Amino acid sequence: MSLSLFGFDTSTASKIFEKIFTGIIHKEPVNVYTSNPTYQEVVKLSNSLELVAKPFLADIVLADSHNEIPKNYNGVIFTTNVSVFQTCQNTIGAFYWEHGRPKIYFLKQRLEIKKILLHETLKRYIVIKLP
Amino acid sequence: MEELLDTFVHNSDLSIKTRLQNAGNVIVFTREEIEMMQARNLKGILKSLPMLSYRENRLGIPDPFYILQDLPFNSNSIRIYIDNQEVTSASYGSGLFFIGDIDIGFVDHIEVYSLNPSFEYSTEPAKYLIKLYSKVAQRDKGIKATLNYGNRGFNQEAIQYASVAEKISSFAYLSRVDDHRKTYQSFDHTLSKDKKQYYFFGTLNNKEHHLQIQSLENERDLFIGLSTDARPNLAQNKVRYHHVGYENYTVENLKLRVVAESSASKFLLSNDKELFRVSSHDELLTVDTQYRWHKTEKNELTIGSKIRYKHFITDQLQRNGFDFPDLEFDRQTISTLYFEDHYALTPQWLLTLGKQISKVHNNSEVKDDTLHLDRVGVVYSDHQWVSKTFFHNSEFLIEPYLYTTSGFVIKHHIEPEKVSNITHEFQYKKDAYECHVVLGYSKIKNMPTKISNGEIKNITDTLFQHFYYVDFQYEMDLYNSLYFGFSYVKNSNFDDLNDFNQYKSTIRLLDKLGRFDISNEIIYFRDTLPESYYFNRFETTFPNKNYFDYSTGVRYRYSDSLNFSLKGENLLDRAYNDYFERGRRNPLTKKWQYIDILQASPIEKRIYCGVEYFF
Repeated sequence: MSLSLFGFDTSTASKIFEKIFTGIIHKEPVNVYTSNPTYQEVVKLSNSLELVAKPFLADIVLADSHNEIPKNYNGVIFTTNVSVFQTCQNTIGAFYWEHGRPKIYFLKQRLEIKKILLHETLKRYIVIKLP
Repeated sequence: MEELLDTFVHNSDLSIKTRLQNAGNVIVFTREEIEMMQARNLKGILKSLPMLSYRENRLGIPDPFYILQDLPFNSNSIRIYIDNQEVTSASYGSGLFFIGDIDIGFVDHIEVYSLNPSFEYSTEPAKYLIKLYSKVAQRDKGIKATLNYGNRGFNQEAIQYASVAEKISSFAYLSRVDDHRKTYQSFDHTLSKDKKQYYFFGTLNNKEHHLQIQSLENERDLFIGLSTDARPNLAQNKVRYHHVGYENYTVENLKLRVVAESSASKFLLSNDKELFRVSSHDELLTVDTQYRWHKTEKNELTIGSKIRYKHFITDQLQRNGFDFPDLEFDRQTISTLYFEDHYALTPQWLLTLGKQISKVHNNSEVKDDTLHLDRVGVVYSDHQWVSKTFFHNSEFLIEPYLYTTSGFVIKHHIEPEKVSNITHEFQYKKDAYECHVVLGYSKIKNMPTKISNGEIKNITDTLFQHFYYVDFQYEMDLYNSLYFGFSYVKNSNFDDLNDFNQYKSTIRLLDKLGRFDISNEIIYFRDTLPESYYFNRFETTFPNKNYFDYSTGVRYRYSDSLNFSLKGENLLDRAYNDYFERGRRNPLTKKWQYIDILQASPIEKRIYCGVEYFF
């Protein structure tokens, strides 16, 4: 209906992912693949992110569940799901709610395997073990 | 980045407010507001509402519509839901009877609707509808322990657990409250409202199935109880309430909900002459289905049905050792059909029409009823302005307790209370400012009241109510906000009373300074009812006219996993009072021979300190 609005702050989420992804990949625009319709809107809203149609074209894949991880994909994955972060070895970081606050985590060991050097502003979110 | 995360939290809360425009006249308390206000209990929210106030009746039970009457409960037209499942009492109607002063640590945000909202939110006729939404496991993963202590020995302990697996999420909250309230000396007797409460709330959800479980045990001292001279020797109550609800969303646009509730209560009430023992248990089953049909781009039709089956069993109803005769009336079935049509006239204008019919079937000499609910609304909305006009016509069920408890005699049929009202709301929003103005008029027929011989009758006169409400919110920045609200309610033709008015104003300032969350709130209240009531009848003047409830709190976020809090409630000790008659009645005429007024505030002067730890 004309008056219904969404409960998800797409605009701020877009700015957050823009900072995260440019802080991981260090180029603009960052090519992002996601099959999730909500996060496709988030990516489209940013001038520094480019939504790509195929995973092999992407610098990074954004996944909200295990089903959204492309088959045989070995590149860099960022997730919004704690279970994906805990189990999928290609996932270098996560952004999700915990104790009523949105939290950002990067796992040091996986960053080293993927040879990723984070931007200075994101280094405070690096953890040495899975939360 | 941290500021962006703060904005994300803030706007996720606000988005809940904006999506409710076409639902009705609604006030939302976001999670951020609840946490900053340090509202430990539902009454901490109810007391801050415009027009409505938190009150406790002669039995010390939460009862916002209590006015002088000595009925065990007057607020059955205030309905309460948790996550789209109503909490109901088979005997008393509204679940506010059980959870009106519940620990709200499990609650994410609260919506309070005045009058009937869209049928998408509730299909129960209501003067007020309170919807509590529990925390979502996806947002609150982990374990949290909370300890709160207050003066007079108040203590509250709670533990919360939330987890998310690939397809299923679970949330559990367990709390214990040992509340030692202020005592009042009434002649040579001490009146107490002490309470022990154990409460469990749990959910198990996936995309298509929602399961909710609640379990509550309340043991409380019943303040004055049924003693007319406020000299109770015994006034105690123990209540157990259990709730299991299941919702299914497998079929797109179709909601199916089954809720089973049961409760058991024991009352023990005595004075020097009489001893009442009342024990009862209730069972309640509600099945409802709702289908939303998007007929066209502009038109959406909602149709639904609901069946509610109530079984209320009085196990013991005894006065001075003698049993009252068994009542045959112990079952009630309410079958409801409804539809609601939303039609978008233009992208800005929305027309909404709703109609509901309920058939009430009673199993004994209590007459069956047919209840109607009509709702018509026109909503205009653009980026800055919202204008809403709603017309409601509601008929309220006479809840079974009016027939079954306290030996009330069924001498004649009690007609359903009929309420017609029209409201208009303007809302203006620009940048950091938001303003609401609500104007309303109600006509109330057949209001039930208790007359001096204990019988329940309908008031024959039509009552009128005008109400106005203005509020203003200024978000100075992400971390500081100011709220001002003022409401005025004028009641006319109310029984044999003069017109009486209620004025209420709230100013609230919420600030975040570094790791500190600071709240300040002052509530002004004036009610001219007791002045006119007592002066007209007993030529007794009523001393207190203006009430101020000032509360302040500080929360210190020591780390991501540890918070400390300190709150002072009603620090001036001038919060509004409930007022109770006490004296002696003539045994023949039942009229008062002498009277004295006892005043007791439901909001006591309190200092709380607390700690929260996230594992």
